[in-house]
Amino acid sequence: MKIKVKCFATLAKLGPQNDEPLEVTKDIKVSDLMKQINLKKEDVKIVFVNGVIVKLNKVLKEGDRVGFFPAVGGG
Amino acid sequence: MIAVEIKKVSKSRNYYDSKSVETISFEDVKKISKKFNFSFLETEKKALENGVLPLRYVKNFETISITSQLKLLNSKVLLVGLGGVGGYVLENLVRMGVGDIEAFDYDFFEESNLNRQILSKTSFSFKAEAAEKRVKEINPAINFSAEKIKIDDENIDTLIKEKDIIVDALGGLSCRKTLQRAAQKKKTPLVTGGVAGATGFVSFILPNQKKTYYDLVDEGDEASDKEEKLLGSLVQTVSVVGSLMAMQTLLFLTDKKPTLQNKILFIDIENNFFETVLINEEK
Repeated sequence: MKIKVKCFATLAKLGPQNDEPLEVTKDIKVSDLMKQINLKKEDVKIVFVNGVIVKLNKVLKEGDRVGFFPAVGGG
Repeated sequence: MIAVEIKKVSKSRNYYDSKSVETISFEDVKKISKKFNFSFLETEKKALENGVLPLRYVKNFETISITSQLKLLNSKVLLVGLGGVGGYVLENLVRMGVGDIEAFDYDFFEESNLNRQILSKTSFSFKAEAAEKRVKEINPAINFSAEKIKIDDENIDTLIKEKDIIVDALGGLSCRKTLQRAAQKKKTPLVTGGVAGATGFVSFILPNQKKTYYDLVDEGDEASDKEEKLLGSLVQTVSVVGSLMAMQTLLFLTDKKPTLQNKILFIDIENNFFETVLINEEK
């Protein structure tokens, strides 16, 4: 199935570029998606799916929009 | 009576078709203030109470009504941090006419601030002093004070006076939890935001909110601020984030519901990505 993945700040280089959809196995968990694209658990502080913050065991569905956000806090 | 005097000098300003609003120029505000021994702020409040808009706010109208403009002039805001984001928050608050602004920043400008910090100039000074100067130049009616102080767990509770809202424009993550705890204690809402490279976030936090951005990214005292160190901080990002924070402040102060309450806005301005996310975590 295909999903959309958006990685922020220093994580951006690990996610799909140019807004391309990402091919993943059906019913993949967020934690397994993170392994697939080499995102380290300690670097990801917030995960959101379709506009709601979720935990790492969240099961993803076709067409989901997933965001990964690190500890951003510059002023 | 001051109201009579204000009405006498006020001028009707036509702004669209047959729509017009009564206005008073700053020159007249100054004259009347002198005559009645009022501060500029008091005179402008009196004008608004009598349906007369200080001319400087005419381009806020009708988005900001006369009632709302009066609420802004009656508001007290604490701004913590006068750096990249904080400088733009201040610029917004001063131009929109928040009547009472207090700011904390212990820092001194340096050359590496010039890429983004609106208060920084090649003649370097304390950020607090540069802020005082700029506020006076832009909106002399405002009561502004800036203290050269670094907040910590010991001093924060005595530092924070009664405010309508607190704006967290701190640099780095280490002190932000301290400020949030203090704001909660004072039952004062908080607007927060931060940046790294072209990425930013903004959130509005009520004092009773269970989970906040700070809880989600908490790294304690070990906060490395790796993101900002690796990606730097751009003027584009700090100005957008600062303005979005000021918009949440405006909504709250004018009795509208802040649109980022219990939500976080994540942005990536290089890719024009804006997404508002609900904080309540799924089970």
